[in-house]
Amino acid sequence: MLPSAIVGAVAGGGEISATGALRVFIGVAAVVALSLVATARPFYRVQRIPAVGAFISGGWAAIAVGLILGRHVLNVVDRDVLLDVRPLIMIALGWIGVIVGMQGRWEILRRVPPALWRWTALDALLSAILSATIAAFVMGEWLHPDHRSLDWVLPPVLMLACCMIGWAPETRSIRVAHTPKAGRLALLLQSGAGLSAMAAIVLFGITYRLTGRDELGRMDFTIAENASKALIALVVAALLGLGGRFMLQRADRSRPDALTVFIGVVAISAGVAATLRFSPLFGSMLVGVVVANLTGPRVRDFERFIMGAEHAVALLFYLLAGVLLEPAIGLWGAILVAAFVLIRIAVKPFAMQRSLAAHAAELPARSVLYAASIRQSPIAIAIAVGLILSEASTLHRRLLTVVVLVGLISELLPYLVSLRQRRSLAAAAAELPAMERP
Amino acid sequence: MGKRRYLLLAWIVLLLAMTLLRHIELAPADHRQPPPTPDITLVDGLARPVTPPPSGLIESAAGLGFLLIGAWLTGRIFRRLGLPMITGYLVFGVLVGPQLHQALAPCAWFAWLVPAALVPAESLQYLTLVNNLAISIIAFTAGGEIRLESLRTGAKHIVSITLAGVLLIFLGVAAVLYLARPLVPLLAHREPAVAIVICMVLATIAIANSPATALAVIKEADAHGPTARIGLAVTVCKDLALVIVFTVLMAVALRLVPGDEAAVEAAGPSRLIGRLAWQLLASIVIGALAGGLFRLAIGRVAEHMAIFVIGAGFGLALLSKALDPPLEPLLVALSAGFVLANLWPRQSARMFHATEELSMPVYCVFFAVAGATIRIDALIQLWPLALFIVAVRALLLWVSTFAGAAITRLPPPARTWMWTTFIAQAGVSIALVTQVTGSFRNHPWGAQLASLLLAVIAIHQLIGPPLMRLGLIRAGEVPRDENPP
Repeated sequence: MLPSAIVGAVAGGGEISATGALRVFIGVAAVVALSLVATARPFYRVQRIPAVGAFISGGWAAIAVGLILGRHVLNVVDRDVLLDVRPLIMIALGWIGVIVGMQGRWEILRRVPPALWRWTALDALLSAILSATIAAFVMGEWLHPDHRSLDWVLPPVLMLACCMIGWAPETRSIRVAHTPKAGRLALLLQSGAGLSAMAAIVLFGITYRLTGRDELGRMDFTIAENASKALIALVVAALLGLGGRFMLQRADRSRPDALTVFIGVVAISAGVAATLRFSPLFGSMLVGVVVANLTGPRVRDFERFIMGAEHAVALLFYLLAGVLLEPAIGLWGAILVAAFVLIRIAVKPFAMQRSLAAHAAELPARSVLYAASIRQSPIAIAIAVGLILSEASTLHRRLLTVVVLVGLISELLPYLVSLRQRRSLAAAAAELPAMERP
Repeated sequence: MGKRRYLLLAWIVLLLAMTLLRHIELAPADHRQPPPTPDITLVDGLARPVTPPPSGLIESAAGLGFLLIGAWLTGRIFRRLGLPMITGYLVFGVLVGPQLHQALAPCAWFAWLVPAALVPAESLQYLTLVNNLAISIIAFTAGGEIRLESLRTGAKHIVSITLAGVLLIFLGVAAVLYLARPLVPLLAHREPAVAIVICMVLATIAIANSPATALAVIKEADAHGPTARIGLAVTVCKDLALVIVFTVLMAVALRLVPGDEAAVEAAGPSRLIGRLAWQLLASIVIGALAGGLFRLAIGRVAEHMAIFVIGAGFGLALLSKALDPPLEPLLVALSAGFVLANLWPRQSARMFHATEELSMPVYCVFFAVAGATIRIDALIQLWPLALFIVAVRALLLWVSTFAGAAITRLPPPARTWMWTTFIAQAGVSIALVTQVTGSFRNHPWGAQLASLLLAVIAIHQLIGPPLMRLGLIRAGEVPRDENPP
């Protein structure tokens, strides 16, 4: 009677059932528990152990928890109920977009060495072209025979290509000698990852609009419409960036006010982008770029505040990915995973070493960090989850599984390389006393 | 240009942007697209069926953002005008919500300018979860504000004012309305039993007040003193008493005027007592346990206390709803906050500080959504009668509070101005109206009664915060810098 009427009565309908509420509750509890673990001090210490670092940084643990809570194991978090809280997930996507966009500060971008631009461009080009080619071939076989036209094949192919762009920025879990050269390489790896993430989001922002379909299954997409909507998204982003700065100035250093403005700006940018059928990531990234290029102490405070929750938001997406994915990907899905992992192994270190060859003297000759670029960017998970937000289809859930598997496998590769290197170094060290013996 | 003008400019730009975006959203679809046909099922590339997102779901994220920013800007403008910020949040909700649009839609130029509500009803319903979070966080803060010490010292005042309020308002409103029934269209020519039920329902809802509004106004004005402290405790106690009064009322009313069969069955004495006991006791006990659990967790939260608070708020709201019969979320969170603040004041300070930091966005969303759901159509139709009830209730509030305070010798100015704390009504009252509507849906007067109640609540929602602020200022409990001349 009374209480059930009170919950949600103010907002009207949209009631969640008791079971649904319990499921969302368990989901929220899992997110909070994971966030607590992830932000606890002992966790940072444990993460320095390479094997644990490799296991955690790629989201293995959170994805596994999500999978266990999801439909395929315990079924306590219903994915359809989760999709009912899409507005909140969109805001979280927007948060990620702003974080990525804030790396687009002009004064930093103009100091980026040409080699890093070359590396990012070469990686994006090679990864996108190769993965799109293979994905197009696989989709031609994987999709239903009636749906093997360009209208159906192009959106998933482009999405997968976006996911293959870039690499993971995290280097803490990779144990390397603390030398200036290794530090320089780690910095390049981190900066390049930020640039690549921006490239991936822009490309995804465009392809996201291709996912819209009319009742006959044709892509509902015209260049004129796309251009006009993109223009609107840009204007909204610019206005929001400027408006956000103005409102932050009015916030008079009050944290609650700044928080209100920030959540509001992120929600509007993500929501307007979604309404215009762009990715929420894309809209918010544009806002992030605008805000990053406005100077002032308030903006720097704002930046620190946003970055502070990076960990928790990333965990949320790993957990969501675990709940939303569809494990039964079949032979063609497995082929895609294998092909993408091979592409990463072949292309990423190659693009890195080729582009940075001119600076070889300033960088270490051999380092596990060269293999670190094999690891998939966390943005890929956000992109794949974002696709499910636009259309919660079986295909998209399977594509998410492909992305998750590629990420998990690629995460282990640098660790295996470092193990091999350590073994060979240990073997060399063991041989040394014998050689030195008179 | 002064700060106020800049704010006004930003506010106008925001409204224009919202209107423009609504126009773009509602623009006719591409002419190539065939009209939607119901027999076509959407499928994905694997030929598996796909359910498109329900209407309003995707747009609700932008709606939430607009409500946040718009309410925040309006609140700041209102603050500069010397009015409470939460009135600004409510007013913004009214302006962009579906109710005002529906009321103004017959006007041709308005319909052309604003083709649909800036935050449509379909989007508002997806903000339920956010609203539940807001209720939990507000109640948790309110629980933290009530200290055992002040309860001990002020217990006699709280009991006296609560009892006087509940009795005098219930009896007074019911009696005045019953006596004036030839003048009230809703009551005229009704059978005495029906008239009595309608009067009792109106009188019961008149008891309701809004702890959330009281807390928001107190926090915003940074008020300290007996009016604020005892007033807040009384609003909570009155709402507890209301749960009991309402349950008894429904049992009596559904016997006098049989309504919906399921409702009559649910109103059976044993069921009622069981549910009531569960609602009150279980809510308090589970809330207290949750408070204990939070205490254990607080020590382990190294960073991001705000994330913990959000999770805890969602957890309390959803847990309350998940149990059968459901708990009272307001009471659960209130109890958790009370236990935490009183048993572990030092350890919980960090959590309450984080809650305080979250309060602004929470209030913006909560009150803007409340504003967006104010029934403007009911207000337009029934304002003379609604105003009459508001005036009667206000008079009885003043009399009952003054009497209750005088019995226990609470000195002025608290005695004189505390009644202003109880004027505002919000979520709980609307929830009760929903219950009334459901129970009497078979009767032709059921809908009229609901409309009248919503009109009365709408007026109280709008006049409550400024009057309470005025009362706190007059009682001398608002610091000078929060009280611009």
